[in-house]
Amino acid sequence: MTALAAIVATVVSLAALAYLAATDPKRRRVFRVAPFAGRRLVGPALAAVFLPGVLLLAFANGAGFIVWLGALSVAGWGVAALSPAQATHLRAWTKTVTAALGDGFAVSTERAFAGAAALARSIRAAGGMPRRIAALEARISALEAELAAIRESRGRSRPLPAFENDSASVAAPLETAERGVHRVPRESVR
Amino acid sequence: MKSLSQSQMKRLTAVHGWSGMLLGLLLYAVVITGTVVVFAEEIAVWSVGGNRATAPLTSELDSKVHAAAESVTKGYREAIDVWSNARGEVLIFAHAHARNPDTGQMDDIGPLIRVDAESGEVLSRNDGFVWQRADWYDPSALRHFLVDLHVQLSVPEPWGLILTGILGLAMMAAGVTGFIMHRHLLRDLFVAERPGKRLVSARDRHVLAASWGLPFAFLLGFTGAFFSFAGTVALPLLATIAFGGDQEALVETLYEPAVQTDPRPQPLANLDAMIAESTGRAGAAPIFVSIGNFGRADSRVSIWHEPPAGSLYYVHNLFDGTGRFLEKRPAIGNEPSTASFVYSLMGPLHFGNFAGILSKSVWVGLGAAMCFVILSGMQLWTRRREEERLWRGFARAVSVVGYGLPLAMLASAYAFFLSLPSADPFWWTPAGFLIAAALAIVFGCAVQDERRLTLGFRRSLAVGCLALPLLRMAAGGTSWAEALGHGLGTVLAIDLVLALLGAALLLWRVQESPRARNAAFRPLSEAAE
Repeated sequence: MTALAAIVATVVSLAALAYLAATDPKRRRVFRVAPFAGRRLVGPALAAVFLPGVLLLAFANGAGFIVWLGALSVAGWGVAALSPAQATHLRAWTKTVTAALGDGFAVSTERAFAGAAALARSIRAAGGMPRRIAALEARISALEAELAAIRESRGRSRPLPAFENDSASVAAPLETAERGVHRVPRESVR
Repeated sequence: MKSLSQSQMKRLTAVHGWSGMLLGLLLYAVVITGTVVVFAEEIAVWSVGGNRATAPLTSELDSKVHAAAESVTKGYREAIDVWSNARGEVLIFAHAHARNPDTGQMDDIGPLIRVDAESGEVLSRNDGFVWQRADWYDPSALRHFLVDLHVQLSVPEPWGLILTGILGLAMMAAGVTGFIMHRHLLRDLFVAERPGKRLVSARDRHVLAASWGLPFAFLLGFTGAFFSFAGTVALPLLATIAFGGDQEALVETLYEPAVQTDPRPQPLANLDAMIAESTGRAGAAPIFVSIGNFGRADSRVSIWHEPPAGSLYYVHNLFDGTGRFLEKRPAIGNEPSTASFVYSLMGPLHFGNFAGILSKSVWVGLGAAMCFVILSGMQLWTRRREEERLWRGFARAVSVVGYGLPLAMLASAYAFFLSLPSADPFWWTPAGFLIAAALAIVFGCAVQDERRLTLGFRRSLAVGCLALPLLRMAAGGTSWAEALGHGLGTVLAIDLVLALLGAALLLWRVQESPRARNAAFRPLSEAAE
């Protein structure tokens, strides 16, 4: 139990350290890597580094805490000592090895997850379909009425409102994503 | 932190660098041997084999100890210590205390009886001042030599211990001065070595490893110095001040339970039952049993256990001669105290043996990191002065020691296995080390080209690692099938580690050329100091 807890704690802390290393501004500057694009979450990352150690101590696992501290010292050095290029190579290599080793398992797991997700989506979509169709019909009716009113009041044709132009481009990827559920932009449905 | 003036920084750099230069190679010797002897127990088992199918201290120990006690004169029943060796045999040492004419010090004297753990058959018996004859109590000359090299650099007592104590202090001092010198420790915590093999790259390499290893460098240096100085300086000083120079009295006060003398005869209760109860209380396996005043009414039985899961400390349970549990003893004194707590932390934090293979592996990693810090520091220092011939020579010495020392340690293992069938391994193991060290120095002097020198050392190390398991088996060592049958997973594990190390060393050589190509890369420039 001591060993397992210490290993899990070290892996969690190490993942946070890897994030801190990958987003470290000086490291990126020195190795001429573009500055980190997103927001660098230093506080949560530091919490993830130290919290496992605190938890080990809190659960009276002194041995686990010392092992965690020592392992973090060595492995942290290992993480920091890799240049960004080496880290990228290592990541790619790990991915390849993982894929090669656990291909069958990964594929079956992935398929199982994908199947479950599709089923969940279908159920959700089926459940929400009548409500959505009703909302769509109502909205289309409102728009048609609005359009007719505009045409009537001005007595001539005008370019379509912007959202109507946008609806085609936005709806296409959404349709793909939602697997055949025909939708207009969410804004217009609400 | 308050920033230092330029002159202060210069002085600090001088202290840091010169102390490293003067003691660095010796410190490297202590640290690299320490890194290896973290697995001293495993190395011993690997080198001598044996049988671990039976747990030596929990299988009918009572009858063995009683038989041994009956076979010695009454005077030697003052203390009977029982433990198991690397072969899984039981060692029973019935002894008294007498002045050793060779050393002039009080010492343990008595018969050391080696017993088969399964059958109870007496395998050997040696009488005398046992601690002077390592071959009586340690079946592995290899383990004995490596531990001695780490503890006192094979220099006679007390000078070797004083030397390693000073090296421990030097390690702490280097850590502290390095910490003060390096103003951007946190900012540089993720800056890897810049390519190009420039001066700044050497600095990055040293600073990065030192920054990450700083807390444990301090810790290992402190605990190492503590162990070196405790027996040579602190305890004799304390004995002189508080006990009129009587070290026996000091040891009794610090470590042994207070007992009212009662010499009436009384048979000792069943030892196996006491061990079983003690194991139940401790929640960990027994490793050492000590019986005071065997066969008397004031008899006491001390049983030590491995640290239980999650704990850092050994457990010491005390029983009286009737088998009644008395107390769980603190490490020193008779009551739990802060001093006892701190004292009991020293061992686990230095040896890293509190959570089995996992903690030992981490300690090996820490030791390897320390070695890297020491060598990279010396390389940085000599690199800055490479214009001077003297420092170029010293840089070569760093390379020779850096590779030569592990090579010589490997050679000592070769000498051990080769001498096992027909010669004295306790003589040949250190001799093998010295011969290989001399050859490494000659090789370092003969080969002028740095690259050829490095490749030669790496290749030798690789071949040495790969061939050692084969030699071990050829010399009559435990085969893998026997090892599995006797519960000796250690044998397989060390053979595999050696094979992996050898392969890694060969690959390291191959991977060198792309790195050299990186020299063309021109990253952002940064001051090296």
